[in-house]
Amino acid sequence: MKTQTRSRWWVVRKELDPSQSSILMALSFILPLVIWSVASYGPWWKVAHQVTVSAESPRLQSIYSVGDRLAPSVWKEFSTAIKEDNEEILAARKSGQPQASTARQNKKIVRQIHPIATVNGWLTREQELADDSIRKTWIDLAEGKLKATKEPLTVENLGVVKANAEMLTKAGTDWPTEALLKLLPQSSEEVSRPVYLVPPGVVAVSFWQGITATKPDAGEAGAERKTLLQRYAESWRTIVLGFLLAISVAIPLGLLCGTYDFASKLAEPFVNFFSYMPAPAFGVVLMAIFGLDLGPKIMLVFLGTLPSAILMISKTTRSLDGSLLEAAQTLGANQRQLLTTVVIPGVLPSLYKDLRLLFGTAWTWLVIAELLGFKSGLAEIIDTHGRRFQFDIVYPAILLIGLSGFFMDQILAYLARFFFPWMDQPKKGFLSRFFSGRARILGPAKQPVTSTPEAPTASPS
Amino acid sequence: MIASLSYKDQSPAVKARFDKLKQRPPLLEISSLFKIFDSKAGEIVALKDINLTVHRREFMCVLGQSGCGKSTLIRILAGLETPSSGQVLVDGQPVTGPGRDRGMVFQSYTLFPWLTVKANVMYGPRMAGKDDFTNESEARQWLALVGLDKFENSYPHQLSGGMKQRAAIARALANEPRILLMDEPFGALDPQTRQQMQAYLLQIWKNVDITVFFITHDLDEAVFLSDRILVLDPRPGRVREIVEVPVPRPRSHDQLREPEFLATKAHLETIIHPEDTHAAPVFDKLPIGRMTDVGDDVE
Ligand SMILES: Nc1ncnc2c1ncn2[C@@H]1O[C@H](COP(=O)(O)OP(=O)(O)O)[C@@H](O)[C@H]1O
Ligand SMILES: [Mg+2]
Repeated sequence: MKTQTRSRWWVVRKELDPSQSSILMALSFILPLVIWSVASYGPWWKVAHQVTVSAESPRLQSIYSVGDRLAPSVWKEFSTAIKEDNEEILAARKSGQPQASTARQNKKIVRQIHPIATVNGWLTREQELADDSIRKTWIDLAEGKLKATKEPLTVENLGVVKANAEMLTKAGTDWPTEALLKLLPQSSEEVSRPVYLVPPGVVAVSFWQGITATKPDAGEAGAERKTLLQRYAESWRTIVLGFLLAISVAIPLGLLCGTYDFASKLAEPFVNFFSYMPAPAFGVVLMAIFGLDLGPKIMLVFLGTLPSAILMISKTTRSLDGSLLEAAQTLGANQRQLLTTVVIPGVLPSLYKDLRLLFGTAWTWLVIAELLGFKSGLAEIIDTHGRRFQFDIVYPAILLIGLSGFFMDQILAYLARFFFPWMDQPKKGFLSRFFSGRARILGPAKQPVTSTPEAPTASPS
Repeated sequence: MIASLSYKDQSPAVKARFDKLKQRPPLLEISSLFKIFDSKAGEIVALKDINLTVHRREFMCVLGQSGCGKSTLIRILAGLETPSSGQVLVDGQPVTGPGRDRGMVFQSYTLFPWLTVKANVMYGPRMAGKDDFTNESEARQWLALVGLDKFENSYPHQLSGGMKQRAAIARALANEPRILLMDEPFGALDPQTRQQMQAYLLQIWKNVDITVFFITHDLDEAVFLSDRILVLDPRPGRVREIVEVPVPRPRSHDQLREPEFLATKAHLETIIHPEDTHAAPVFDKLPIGRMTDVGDDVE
């Protein structure tokens, strides 16, 4: 059949073949990245030229000073005007009749270097009119004694510097009477995106700088200084302690509620009610009880996780196939044995799944918890830098939380096959697909036995 | 086909067997058993005045349409359900709850998925506190009996349906019960596997001193397996008839076409599906005109 060979993409409730799935799973990450990139780098954000080196020209109606933001067309007009001025000066010089110039005009040109000199720390801001010092700067630059590292001069402008310095030295202490060349305008290009739209490249660089930083970043004044990774470790400590505390209460309680109606009727109605009170609302109470350090943070994660964990685990326990319990009873198991030999081993895989899910939601509580009392962990970065609109620092921290939650879940899902070899493991996850080749070698055989050559009554499956 | 043969005609050998059987002590005695469920739609009389005696080493089948109370009956015998009134005695002892003297095999696969096949078979003895060394060697023997000795370390999900049920039988037998209760154990299997399992069950029954109480809604299965068949009428579930199967033992599936077999089956059909006649479809009302247009040569 012709239609059979072509694999189709849209079929109701039908799994795609592995290669199709892989493509789509990759796309599921690539698409958002593409959207983000297009949004950031697309042509819809206005480019502005922020002037760093300026000049004046009679060709121009207006004077542009350092710091001005110019639209691309204005910038172009500006640059060409100065270039043409210089060309005129050079042409006049070549013809043997150089343009005459007053000291005042030349001083104006020499002062062009001042913004660069201040940025690089050669001159102070106040020396704007200190022409002798400025003049010295030109000569030092030309001789290579100074080198602009912060706001480098273009090659063309270095040429201008050399040419002018030569004339300045020739003139001795006087000012040259011949027209000096003008420094060509320089600018830094800036895209005027909204402050919250940080392009992926910037976030990636900032992320990398964050996780490779060995020196503490500049945090809030007075606050402890820590690197991103140190804060990250703090976050892990808070979430792990809070989570472990919560499940060490929730697992026994949930198992009891799911097994014994007595426990269920006694505990669940209140737990259910309690779960409707948002845990962060108790933040102030927790601070009053546990102080401002780690205590309230752990307890908030605990409090946020606990009610839903109890309800979830008891529901999971209740959903254990009742016929297994009946089978055990007909085999002579007593009440205690039912709990220990059927209920507990029977619910373990679903319980494990629940815990994975709960750990995922615990990250939500973490972010709120870390703002209680003395801020700590990744949430501190998000909060303090977020207030200053430094989103290039905020996003890596958020990203780190997302990546941690995601990979933790994937790793746990993947490990399940080793904890529960008796389960039919569906290869659904991202990692399990990734490692499926290796798992087949390491893990026990998963294929159901289809033939029984020895048994006389072998049954076809 | 000998049309005159009735299911009541027993050959001398069969008759002798039944006489011998009835002299054995009763193993299961059900007397005036009622079960009434309270549901939203009102009371449902699931079982009405059931009386039955099953003798030791007898193979008893319960036959009936779905919903006639077969499962309810066997669950009462297993102690998983309490009767509304009446009494059940096993070996002279009244049934009050689940117990080791009654092994049960369910239609759904109830092997513990987290235990290997061997550990499943060892489950009952372990619960009784027997030492694991004996449990293990005995479990191996039970597995050998059901032909699963090669799969003792497999997990249930690795077995086929038939193998799962064989393991379930071994698990029930490992507890050395007096009676084996089976609720449509082969109902989910394909016909071929089902026949194999039936032959297999008879083999086991021959080798082990056990009484079997077997529920099915399959006529062939009932006739093939049992000494006697208890036919239940639906709504309310009550005893329609207890049929003594005249097919001689040892049985094989070749007997499926023999006169005793056919006569018994024919009789069961008449008492089980009397009201099936109303279902004849009215063909001229169906939109099948185009199909008949194809041609007259279609028969
Ligand atoms: N727990 C229950 N509550 C109410 N009605 C029930 C319950 N169990 C069975 N019944 C009813 O009793 C009747 C017999 O059911 P069952 O014994 O399962 O029949 P069978 O096994 O022959 O198919 C059915 O009408 C069913 O609806
Ligand atoms: Mg049933």
